[in-house]
Amino acid sequence: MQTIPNLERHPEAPAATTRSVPRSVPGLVALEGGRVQRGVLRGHLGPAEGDLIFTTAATGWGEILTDPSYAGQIVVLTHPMAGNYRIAPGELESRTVHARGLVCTRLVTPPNGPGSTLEEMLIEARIPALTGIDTRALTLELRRGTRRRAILREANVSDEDAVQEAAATTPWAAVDHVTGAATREPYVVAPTATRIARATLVDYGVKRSLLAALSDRGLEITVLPPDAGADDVASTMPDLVVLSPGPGDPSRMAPQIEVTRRLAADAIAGGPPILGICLGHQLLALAAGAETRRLPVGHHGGNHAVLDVSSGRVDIGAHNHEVAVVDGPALAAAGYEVSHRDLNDATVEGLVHRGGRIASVQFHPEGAPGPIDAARVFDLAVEGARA
Amino acid sequence: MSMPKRVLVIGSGPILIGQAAEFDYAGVQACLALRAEGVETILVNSNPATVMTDPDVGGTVVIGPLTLDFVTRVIAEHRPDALLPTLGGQTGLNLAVALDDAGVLAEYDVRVLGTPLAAVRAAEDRGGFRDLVTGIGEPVPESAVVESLEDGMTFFRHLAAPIVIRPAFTLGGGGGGFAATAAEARTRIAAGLAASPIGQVLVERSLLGWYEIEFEVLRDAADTTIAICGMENLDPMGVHTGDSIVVAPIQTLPDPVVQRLRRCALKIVRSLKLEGGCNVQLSVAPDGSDYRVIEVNPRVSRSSALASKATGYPIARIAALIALGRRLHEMPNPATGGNSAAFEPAVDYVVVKLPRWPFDKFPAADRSLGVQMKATGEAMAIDREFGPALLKAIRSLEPRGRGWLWEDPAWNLEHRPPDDVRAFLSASDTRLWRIVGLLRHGWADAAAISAATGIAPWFSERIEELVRAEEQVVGSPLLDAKLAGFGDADIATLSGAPWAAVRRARVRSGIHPAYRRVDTCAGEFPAETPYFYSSYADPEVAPPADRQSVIVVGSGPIRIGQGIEFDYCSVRAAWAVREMGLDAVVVNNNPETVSTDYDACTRLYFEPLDTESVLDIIDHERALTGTPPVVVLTFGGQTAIDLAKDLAYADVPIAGLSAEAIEITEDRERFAALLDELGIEGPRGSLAGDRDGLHAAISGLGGLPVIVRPSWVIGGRGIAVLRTDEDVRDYLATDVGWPLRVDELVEGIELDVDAISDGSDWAVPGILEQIDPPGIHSGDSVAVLPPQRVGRAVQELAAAAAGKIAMALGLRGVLNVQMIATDDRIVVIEANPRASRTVPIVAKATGLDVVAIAVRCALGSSLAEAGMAPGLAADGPRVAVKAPIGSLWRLPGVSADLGPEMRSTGEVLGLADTADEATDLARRAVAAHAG
Repeated sequence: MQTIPNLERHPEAPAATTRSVPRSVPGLVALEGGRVQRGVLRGHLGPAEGDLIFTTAATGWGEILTDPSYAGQIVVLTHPMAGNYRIAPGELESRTVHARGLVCTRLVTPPNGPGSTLEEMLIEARIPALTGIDTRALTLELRRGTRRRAILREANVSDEDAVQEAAATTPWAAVDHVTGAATREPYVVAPTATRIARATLVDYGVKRSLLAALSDRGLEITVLPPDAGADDVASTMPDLVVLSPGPGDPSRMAPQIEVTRRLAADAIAGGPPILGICLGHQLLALAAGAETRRLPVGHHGGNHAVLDVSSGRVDIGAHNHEVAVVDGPALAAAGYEVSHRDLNDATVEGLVHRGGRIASVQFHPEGAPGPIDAARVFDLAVEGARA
Repeated sequence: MSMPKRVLVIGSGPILIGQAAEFDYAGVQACLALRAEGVETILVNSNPATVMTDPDVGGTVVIGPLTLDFVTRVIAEHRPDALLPTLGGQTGLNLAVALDDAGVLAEYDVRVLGTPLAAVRAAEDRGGFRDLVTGIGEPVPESAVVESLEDGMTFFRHLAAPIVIRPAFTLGGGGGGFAATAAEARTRIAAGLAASPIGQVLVERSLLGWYEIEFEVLRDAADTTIAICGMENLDPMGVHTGDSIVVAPIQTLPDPVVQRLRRCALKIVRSLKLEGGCNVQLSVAPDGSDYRVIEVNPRVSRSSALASKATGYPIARIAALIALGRRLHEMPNPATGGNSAAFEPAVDYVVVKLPRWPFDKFPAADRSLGVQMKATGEAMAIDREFGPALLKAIRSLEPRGRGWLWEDPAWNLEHRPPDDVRAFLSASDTRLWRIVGLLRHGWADAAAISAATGIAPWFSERIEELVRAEEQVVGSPLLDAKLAGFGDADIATLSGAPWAAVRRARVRSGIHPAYRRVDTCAGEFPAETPYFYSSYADPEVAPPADRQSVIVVGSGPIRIGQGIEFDYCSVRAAWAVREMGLDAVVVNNNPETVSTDYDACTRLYFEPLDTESVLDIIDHERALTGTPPVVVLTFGGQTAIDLAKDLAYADVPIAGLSAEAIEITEDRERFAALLDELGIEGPRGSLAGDRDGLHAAISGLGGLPVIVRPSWVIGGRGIAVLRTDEDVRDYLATDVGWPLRVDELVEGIELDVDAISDGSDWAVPGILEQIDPPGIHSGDSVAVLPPQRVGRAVQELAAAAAGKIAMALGLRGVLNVQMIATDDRIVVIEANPRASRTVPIVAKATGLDVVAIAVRCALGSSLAEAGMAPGLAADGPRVAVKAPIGSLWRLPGVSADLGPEMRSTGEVLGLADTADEATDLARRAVAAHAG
């Protein structure tokens, strides 16, 4: 197994982008059963299909596009000015762009300097950006929460045909997005602070920032691929198990749910404690017999507040999830309490198991992009790992 | 903590540079929020031209000097059990600290709500603040707190780098400065020590060229801390943020840097244990690698008003509720009505704020910008992208020929580049236009602009983009120019067509702006905020309105001669319209004000106050309501009145006022003829078309002294009293606006009469007597109501003259007439068919809602229906004395001599049973702000 001492040279980190010549053609975005908006296709000029989701983050395009949780999705930016600054390698969350496309009002060519432009990054990753779009109008349409499947493509087609094409695309929830987003081979991330414990992270599509948040707290992290079994996890002798974020609908991940059930049972019985983040949190809930559901409007941005139910503390957090855990009797029956709630729509944003050996959050305490006000989630987990 | 019962709120006093309408906005929001919670408020302020000092807002209102002994008396009399000190700007905060120091709060058992005074002291005391910030591991610029010149110079020599001098406990950076050489350092440190009330200055390393970022932060007692808005100053460090172009949200910094700065701001606010709103100013190196904490204002401020308007999040209202002990997450979301006020607004547009400087009135003033604020006001604009927002902000400054396309001929940019680009682009009120000029004529590119100014390249490139777009305007589709953000007037100038032709072509092609909602959440949740901005984008579905709308046109940025009094009038007008069961629509662009609070009206349009924007809004309102809206121009000062001609030309119904009436009052010849017709005496005089004409006119009047006035004036611009031949020579050497009306200087007592007419009768609620002799601008004169040196009989004559003029002009609404009373007669000098700066004073002194009465009349009610008896009202029980207050001493190069050119920025009122007492109160109120 390879050990990576320095996250900046993580094998997942992309090579320096080559400068490509930007081109553009007339393009469009078509939403299933909805209307068509025409603009200019930039970045990679090929078509894209996927669920349209909007993020309210005004900065952090590098982080967003390379966040594996956006796999299978076309990201609509509500803030009209995109690409204002050059993206540094340290802002990338994985080795490749996972979002399938970008829709924005204005794709700015940033001033000269180090780092690559958003457009260069898109060309390199062969991902299209549709610009010149009234993203507020599109957002208000997406807010209805009924239609999401969409295509981006060249504009040489009628509105009707484009809408039909959108309706014919494969639903996001029907596809396995995890395999393509997670590591295939195990690897180890060395702690960047004095080593205090060992964590094993099951990777469903982890972000660099999450690994950094853990390794900065003195954890040596063994990263296992998403098909790792409970025994594989146990064989790494972890002080803490981390179930990572990742893309897609967790309810279709039966094998991972089963593995999670075993890990949870272990933890409850005194085995290594578990921290679940985002998809990991959803898997813990499913393993406990609870349900998850697709939100009418997913949370994507850095401005929602989350209430820590037991302490009363409120933190602004980075959110990126289409699916949420349903707050039902199954949770309590399995010994879980809701530890965090979204203050906007009361979504379950965290769970804690009675015995205190399992905790999970739906939001992203690692930020990237967005605030890390609730990073003490990691501190608590590290404390648990040392105990 | 128990809920307080009676809360004392301290206002900020008169408008000064650095302390403007933002505190009326904050005070109004706070008082209304407290009273809605069942808490009584006692409001003390010396500034009568404020909405907060109306009893239906402030509760128990005490108008008087903001001095320790006066406020102590208020506390003794009204016995509040709590004090909310963070709403009245630096003035209110300093007073709260003084009350605490003097033991007054302890003696009367008044507890301080919200941010504890210890936190205020920690944030305000430069040395203490530095220790606190470094104590939590955050960086501050290398500095020393000094109380002597020698210590300051020792630090300067040791640092061997440019320094900034910031005096403790002053507002708007008064007495501060930048120094690069030992000689400069010596001068500035000495000046700073003199300016600080505690003789203390902070001398620190200058971060010239770094970028300046501000965060507006709210924290509650449960430690929930949120950043409402991050704002980026386009002008790099070295220019006071009040004089900077400010952009929101932050545009040029990568997310990791934004987050780092945000975390720092939150950490500081948490460590100070502030409960309420707080402004944190940070400086960041251009490459984002390093930053410093610059300052913290533990109170609402100009920046928090801007952040509120930029995001739709009512910071002052929420801060007041936090002070009552409420928690952010337990309060409803103020915009969406959702579950929680604990969220950070997401915006899907770009906001640009431009300062408004008084240099148009004082061309001799030093126009360079530095750490000492010089702007009197500001305009804000919202659009989807930066470029259109910037162009709209320029239009909002009412440039009068100095729009985007303006260049000073003296720059001579058509023919040659400036010798020294860096010097040419040094920070000044015209820097933006100089940049545009250089780019337009090809003397520099964006990179060169940034190299010379330190402005982030992203901004220079956007401005360059606008210049390239300007080149494309002629010959391209009109829609492209509109999408780029160019106003009809600029397009007209570029294409050599009249603006009306551009508008006609635009309307014919169906090119209209859409109105977008400011909703705090970038469309994520349904929101009902009635707050809109225009953009050339798809129309947004708005719920149709089924009531007649009345559009109240506001008064734009605060400037000398057109201040907060017109915001008072606009707000009261909107409220009166709403009470009549009609939709009150407000158009304005001043982010400081109450009128741009979407709670103050049925619909708010944050837009330039030019013909284009107002006509577009009228069209939109007509489409929305199915009825042509009525437009009210009489409460927005000269800004609104100046629209009358164009609106009349476009067949828009103006409430109670005809363009003809405006023209008669503004054309001095026609006005003189009207007075003749009415048998009212006007000053003898004639018109002079040129230099010889002026000499002839003077001899025709029997010689000097005379008073000269160009037509179409605001705040006395270009008006002068000529007493000697030298005065005449000097005046002719200026940029004279011919033709001039040359009048005899009538000696007597000047009266300011506000008349209200319903079209068939008139009423005068009160008359102000100017204490200073004619020739001093009435805005600069001490005035008393009711008149003390003019008998009732002459007052009746004066009122009747004003009433007759109103009737003759066919006005319904309010009219201001200035006249001079002698022993037994009156001479009418001028009339303005609109509310004037005296309206709030008359309202406060008489207790009459003068604006509501005028609005009702303008919209068709009779005086009786509006609740006003005809004729001159009987004197009330109290005497009011108004005194002007200036802050132009801050502006090097501006003379302190008073004359027909107005110099005051604000005013105070003394209100008492006798004239002597009222005068004494006014004098003390002025003294409280002197120095």
